[in-house]
Amino acid sequence: MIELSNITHQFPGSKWKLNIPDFLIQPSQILGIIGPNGSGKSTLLRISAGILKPSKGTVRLSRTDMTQIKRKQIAKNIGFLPQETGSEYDFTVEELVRMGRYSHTGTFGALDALDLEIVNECLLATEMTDMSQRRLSQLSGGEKKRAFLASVLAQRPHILLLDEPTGFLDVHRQVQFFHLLLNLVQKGMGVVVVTHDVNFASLYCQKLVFLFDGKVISKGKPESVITGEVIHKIYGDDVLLGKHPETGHPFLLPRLLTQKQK
Amino acid sequence: MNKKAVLTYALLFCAVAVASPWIGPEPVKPSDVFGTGQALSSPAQEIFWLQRIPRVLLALIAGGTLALTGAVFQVLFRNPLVEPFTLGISGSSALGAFITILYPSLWLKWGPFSSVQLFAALGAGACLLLIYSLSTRPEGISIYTLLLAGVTISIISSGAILLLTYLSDPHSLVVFQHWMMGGIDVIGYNSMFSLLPLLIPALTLLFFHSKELNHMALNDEMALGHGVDIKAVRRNVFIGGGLAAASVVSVVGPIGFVGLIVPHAVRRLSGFDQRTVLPCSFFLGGAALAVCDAAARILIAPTELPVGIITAVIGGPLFIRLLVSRRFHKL
Repeated sequence: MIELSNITHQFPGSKWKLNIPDFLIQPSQILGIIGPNGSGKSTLLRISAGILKPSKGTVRLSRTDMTQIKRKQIAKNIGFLPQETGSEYDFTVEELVRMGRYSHTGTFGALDALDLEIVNECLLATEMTDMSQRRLSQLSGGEKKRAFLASVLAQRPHILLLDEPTGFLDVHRQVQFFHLLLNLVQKGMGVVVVTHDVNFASLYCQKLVFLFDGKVISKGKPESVITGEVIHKIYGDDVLLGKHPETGHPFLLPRLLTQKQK
Repeated sequence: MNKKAVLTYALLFCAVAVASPWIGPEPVKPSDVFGTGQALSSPAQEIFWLQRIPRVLLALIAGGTLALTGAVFQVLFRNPLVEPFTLGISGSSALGAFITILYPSLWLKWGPFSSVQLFAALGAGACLLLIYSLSTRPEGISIYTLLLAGVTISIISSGAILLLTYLSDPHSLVVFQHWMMGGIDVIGYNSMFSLLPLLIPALTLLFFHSKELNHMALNDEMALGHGVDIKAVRRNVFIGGGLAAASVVSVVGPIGFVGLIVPHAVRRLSGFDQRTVLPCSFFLGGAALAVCDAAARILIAPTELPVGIITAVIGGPLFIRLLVSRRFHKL
């Protein structure tokens, strides 16, 4: 469990401020962080992962102040997939996934049978087994993202923090990706997804946090967060709010603006 | 880790170590060296044990270290052009050595150590401290500032050396020019022993971080997410690599291209796992410098060429070949 209390963060030279009085990441659920560009979604996620130290406030992992926990120990509990992933060197997919075992191995990083089993499981879960010997430069954007996810999953974390993980994926792969997350959640993992895609967040997340200008403007179940009032406040008249025809979840559709409305 | 690759490079290293002492302007046969019971009883034995063997050992260690430091700096700064030269270590080291050579009163010897070495190492140390402090930010080291600071220090050192060259007497100039061209024409084992006190802990530190260096090739957030303390790794590898390069440059002078070319060649031939790249770079760098030095001994025999000229003549075209290679951007 990750608890954030009284968090404020301001980047040097910027007037923009993130202000989060309280934020809780629990096991066995997908929590979606949604909001427009520049609302502070990625900053909140990086603070939750212990990657970014907030200007004020505390972040606790299993009730212990995260600044007191070594990075290796954090990595055994929290898997973090940043928005920007890449590598200076052209590693193979398997080499990249093996790196995910870093926090569990000794000085020279030798992997034992259990580590290799976990690496294979993660390749399988992300459907990268057939591509395990391909180099990163030979993968499409979506395949690369899955390779990096496999590397994060190889940490065997209890909590998974994902920043725009479906950015490069087509709709089919996005659905598969969220189903993979649902499987992980069923096994007890807590997952946080930062996404621009309100529709996927509405459909697959048990809980949503809507950020705007560094502040939480709404949080709770999707149907209580994605309301006409909130959507109008954030996106104005540019989108239509509807319901998913099969599940009834709130759904956004872009509106075709007339010349007059533009 | 690719054990097969490491073993292959190690065998090459050993083969060069065994073969190159026999190459030189004066022919030395195994029967001349091992035939008599008494040690150093013939000129051939003296040439072999007091000139060739120490020289080959120094070439193996110096070449290996330069290639290894090039490999670690390239991954640490995610820049394929980084080596001790581009970080200003070689330039500041040369300036330190030149100051000692210019002033004979500073020219002292303590056992295997000399004041030229000491001042060269001090120059490199001052450079490291300066670029490290200039590039340290609250959120970590700024790689761009560090590289720019390194290049600037190189330029300042070159300018200072030019000024001192203009003002210096012909004798000092000859001594310094010889040092600048890079040379491993040592007699006896003192030079090699004088390297070891700094080199052994520095190389140990680098090898202990080979696993983390793989993660440093990813972006910082990914490496942190995997559990790597990137601040500590950067600091330790920077200090270890800087000390190793400084200790070698202080003895053999600024020998170029080994630190730049060898790691690229190793990555191209044996992949990107730093646990493989580091030992293989050491073995190939050592073997390459020992071969270049053997060539330096015989190309215009009986006169010897400074080995730095050979590495530049071979390394320059090789690097241009690498630059135009399609795979360079991923090396």
